[in-house]
Amino acid sequence: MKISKKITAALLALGLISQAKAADPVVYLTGSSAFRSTIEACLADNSGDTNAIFAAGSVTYETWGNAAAGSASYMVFHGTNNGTGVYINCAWSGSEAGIASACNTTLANTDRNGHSLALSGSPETWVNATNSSLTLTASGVVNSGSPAAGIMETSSHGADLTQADTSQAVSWTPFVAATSTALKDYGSEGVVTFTWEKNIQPAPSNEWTHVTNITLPQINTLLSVGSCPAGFITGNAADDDFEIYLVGRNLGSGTRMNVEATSTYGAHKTVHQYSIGYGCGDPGDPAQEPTVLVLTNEANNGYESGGSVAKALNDTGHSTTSGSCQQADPNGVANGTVGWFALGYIAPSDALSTGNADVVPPSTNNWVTVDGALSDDGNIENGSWWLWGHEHLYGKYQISGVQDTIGNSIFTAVSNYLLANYGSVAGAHDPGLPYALMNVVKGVGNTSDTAFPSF
Amino acid sequence: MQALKISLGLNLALIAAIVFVGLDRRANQTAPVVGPVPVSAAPTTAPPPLEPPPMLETRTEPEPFRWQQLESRTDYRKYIANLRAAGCPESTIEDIVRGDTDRAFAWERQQLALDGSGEGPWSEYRETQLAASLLGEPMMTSSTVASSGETQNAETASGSAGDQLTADQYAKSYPLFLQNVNWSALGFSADDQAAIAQVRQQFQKELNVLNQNAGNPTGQNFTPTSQTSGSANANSGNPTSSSPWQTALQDADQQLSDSLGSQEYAAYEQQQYYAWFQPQAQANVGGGVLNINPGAFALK
Repeated sequence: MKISKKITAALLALGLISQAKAADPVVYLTGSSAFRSTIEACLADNSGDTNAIFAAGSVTYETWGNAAAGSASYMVFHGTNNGTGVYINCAWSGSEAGIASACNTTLANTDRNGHSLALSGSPETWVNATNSSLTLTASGVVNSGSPAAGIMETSSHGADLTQADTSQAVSWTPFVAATSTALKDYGSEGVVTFTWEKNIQPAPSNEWTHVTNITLPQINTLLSVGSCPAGFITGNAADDDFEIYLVGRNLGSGTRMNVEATSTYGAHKTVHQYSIGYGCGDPGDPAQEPTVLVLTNEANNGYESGGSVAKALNDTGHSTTSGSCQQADPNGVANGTVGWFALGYIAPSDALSTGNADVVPPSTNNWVTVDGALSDDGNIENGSWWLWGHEHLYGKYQISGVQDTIGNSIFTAVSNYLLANYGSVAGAHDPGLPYALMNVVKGVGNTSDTAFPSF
Repeated sequence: MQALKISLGLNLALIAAIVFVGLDRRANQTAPVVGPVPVSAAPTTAPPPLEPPPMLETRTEPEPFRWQQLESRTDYRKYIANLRAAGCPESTIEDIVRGDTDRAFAWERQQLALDGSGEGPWSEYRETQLAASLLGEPMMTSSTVASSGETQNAETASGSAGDQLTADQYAKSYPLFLQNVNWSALGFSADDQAAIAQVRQQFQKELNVLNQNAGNPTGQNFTPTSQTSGSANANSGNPTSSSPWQTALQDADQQLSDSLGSQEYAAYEQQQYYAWFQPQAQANVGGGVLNINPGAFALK
């Protein structure tokens, strides 16, 4: 390597200069919030190895929406790919919203009062990657707040690429030939994992403590009706004085799609869910701040991201001494009115992100087993845990050029990253797993989104 | 002006007549197979192709119900009136009418190599006019029709109720178990297919009772035929009410779930959604943003 190139690489690595050019093409990537931490790791990889998407020393980036870069809602990366400078502009709105965005489709959603509202991210309003106010550095500038309006693009549009936690076959926007929904499937990079957890309690009640496991039929009932007495889960009638409420995602979510599809509840059926805090972030709702415990019936609606579900489940009303177990059930549906708690479905990376904590650090102590198994790498690999999906990368209809090139690079890098970094540790809770470590399949050739694991 | 009105009336009558000719002709032809769902490079569980909604095969059923009992081959408006009298929800009637007109016009446009633009006899404008006329809706002007796509997008984005031309309304709403789905390709065993046939038969029996009561000119106060019916009042003009038609559908769905088992029913549900979604995507080709309202797919 010539000395000048070495100097340039060093300066780039230090973030002292940037190769970013306004004229460089922008590739728009959206989709799975459950898998964004994995994608972020590959995009931020400055080594140029097989797990990296960009060339060595060429990566600079900035993120918004979370204190942890891997949990950010918006990310802008710039680097060199196949000798060309390119921006990869990410907005993580959920797998289903992502598929819809790549299909140039708007999915209608309904708020808690039955009023229509557009589902966020389909299509997305993106950060303006070439805005001069952005500060892209090699170590990454991480903004916990949302991007300012001044750095956003002026209009919304569809994505070039999207990560999805299920195949398009069970999607709200399935493949129809010769239409904008005819996405290119680069393939499945690996397994995407999920878990179930209770909301955090500084002072757990006996009822909360007794709920350590939930069965598949109980999950289906909870999805359908939204709440149940704790005794329905524990089998102990003495626990019926507490009601359990379901907390989850909106229609744009691949996590929700996985829960509905893999439980055979029905991929396209309505569910009944609740929010904790101040609603689930729809227009008119205040910003989500876990300072007050407010339980709200959201009907078929839910949270926009896994990070928001994590915040809700970590909400103690900002108290270190009491939580929902000490708060009267606002709906008064349980036999008693002493307290209540919640169960939610979520990606492990969001569940364990300390950036989502209120005052009690999240841990697997709040997780519940399903049919006797805990969500961890070993149980997923051996088939004991069934709530997992196939992580797909899709490209928009007739994708070509640099967008297609980047699609191929992402697919290869992420597949390699999973193999090199995830799985094979029995008690670990990785967000993804490589197929090479899986001892079970879902359907012949891992083709099913609804089958239970089999050997 | 009077001449224009007469001309318009004659044109509509002509179009209606041709629609019936077209429908009749297709009824006597082998039903064309809708294009298959392509399998992409990576493995997926994309549903296999559907055949279009057929007439029910009822000759071997013990208590046959025929769609022809509701249909009128000489008077399409009477067919609509029969559907209303039978308690069929208005939204379903709209789907049927718009679907029938869409298929008839699309077939003719294909034969004549027309793209549907303008205000010619086989234009989308004329098609919309005819459907509105058959449904008793106010007639739209050509400028309204031309801008309906933009209006639809704007209204959806702003969260208001969709207008009369949402793509959902072009979707067919026949329950999947009444269609000639390729059950074998879906992986359903002979036993499963027998269970589906039984559900179809039960549904026909319930509709038969419904049809016997259809003499009631108001289309109301049908006797419920199911224990799960929440109301004896079938308000055919209100799609949200629990009519015997809807009750029969709900019963059939539950029977299918119980008979098939969870995995097979999941595949059935997937196929059901695809049958609802596919025509909307195809109708939107070249039409900009595709607006999908999952809430309109009320399987539950």
